[in-house]
Amino acid sequence: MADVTTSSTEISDAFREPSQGCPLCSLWAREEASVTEDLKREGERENGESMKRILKASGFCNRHTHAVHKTGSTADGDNGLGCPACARAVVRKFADGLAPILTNLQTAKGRPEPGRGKGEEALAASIRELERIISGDAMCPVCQGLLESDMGRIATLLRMLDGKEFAELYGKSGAMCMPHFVSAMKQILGAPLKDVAGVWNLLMRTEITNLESIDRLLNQRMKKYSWDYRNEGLSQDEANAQRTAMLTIAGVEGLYCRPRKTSLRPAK
Amino acid sequence: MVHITPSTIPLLEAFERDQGCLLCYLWLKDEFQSMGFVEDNEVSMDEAFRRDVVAAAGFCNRHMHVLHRMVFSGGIPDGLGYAMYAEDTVEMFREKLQTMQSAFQESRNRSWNVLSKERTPRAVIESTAEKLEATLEGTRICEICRRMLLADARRARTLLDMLGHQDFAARFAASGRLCFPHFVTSMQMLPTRRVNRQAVATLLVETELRCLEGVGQLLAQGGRASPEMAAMMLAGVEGLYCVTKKSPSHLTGDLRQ
Repeated sequence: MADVTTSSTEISDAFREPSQGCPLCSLWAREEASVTEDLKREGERENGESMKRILKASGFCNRHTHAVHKTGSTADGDNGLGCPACARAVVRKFADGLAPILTNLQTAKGRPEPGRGKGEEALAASIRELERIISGDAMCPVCQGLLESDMGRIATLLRMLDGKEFAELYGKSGAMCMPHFVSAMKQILGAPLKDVAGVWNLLMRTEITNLESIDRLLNQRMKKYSWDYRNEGLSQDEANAQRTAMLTIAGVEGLYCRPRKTSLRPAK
Repeated sequence: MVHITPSTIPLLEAFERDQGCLLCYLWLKDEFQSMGFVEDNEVSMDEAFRRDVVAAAGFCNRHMHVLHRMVFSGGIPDGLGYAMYAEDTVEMFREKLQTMQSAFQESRNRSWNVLSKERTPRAVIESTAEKLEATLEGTRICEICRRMLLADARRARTLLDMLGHQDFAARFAASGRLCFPHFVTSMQMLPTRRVNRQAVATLLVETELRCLEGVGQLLAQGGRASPEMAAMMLAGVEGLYCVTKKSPSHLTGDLRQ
């Protein structure tokens, strides 16, 4: 869980910084980049605790698998080597899981029986085993870490909103993205607040004001697409209208994203 | 002999291209086409389609971002459709929030009413989280995800039928490749196909094992490209099956387990 003191400074700074999107999203993105960069540069020890967690989760989720293993050079310099040890361990886990499945299928294939015979049973058992292998027994460790920090930051934010000074700052800010706003509203009743109704009202009021301003901005932007207004220039805000709306509706890229592992089954 | 039909042509083409998992190659191609589809003026001006987008509370996180990138990198003209979807969604959010705030104000102003479900400000606050979550999740999945999942399932089924033909099965055994998620998805769909299921299952598992061993060897040899190849093999192409709601409910549930 995020440290409360560090977290409140971090949150306060994020709300003071002028940015286009949600301040909590910028903290999420910063942490995600830092975690994946560390993994890419330093990798994991073969038998370390982290590796055990990675294996338990059957590797990272789709997003973090790609983030961790993407190699190559960037403008900032070397982009790291990915985490070959993580990849090797997960490939080995999958291959080790497939070997007995193949043996079972080959044994059953040699004994054709009418109807739902041994072959069909072996196939059903193989599918169950494959689902178990791919889903793992835990969620992606990067997702889990990000989520725990995010919940900690929201709890701190709620406590900070109970104070007059930060409440004023928040009221003048561009509010949060909808996913973070909903997360905050879900935590509000469990938070140790002096004035729950006051914080609730502040969050709601600020979010509505933000949505109203984005709505207006999008309307102005759409007007400029029409023939009658084709010669009118675009303000910077209007040019960024879709981006601002995107960041409000969905948050930063990857926020709360937990892909399914297969088309038919959700991830852990 | 595999018949050349509109459903088998894309798979045969992907197989010939030999660019990793053939279903991932088609998934990416489909994602690009879906972006073009939703940004098409004829589609974005269709109120019924826009209603579906609003019912899903906009597109999912990934497709909100990918679509924005494609529109504003010049991949697709011109951003009007995006603005319309966003405006409809923002308006829906705003209206819902205003309704909740009005209910809260009323509960503060009026005296205790036995007939009202939400009698006190606290009761309004208690009910808000659930309502907000339902609003953010919407009643449908992202329209782009829906199209892509349907197409992906159709292609997986076609591939399984093609593997029932000896000529294609032999070619697939020699050089076929599926990422692990597409391999498991194909296995999950196998019981519904009218092919020699044991033979196809054995072929799929043998091929997957060969691919995994190949990636394992590349990783052992080192080299910059091998972790990236492993990523494609382990998780599929970037964004594969990223069918997620925007709300964190499913995540917090997991954490509490």
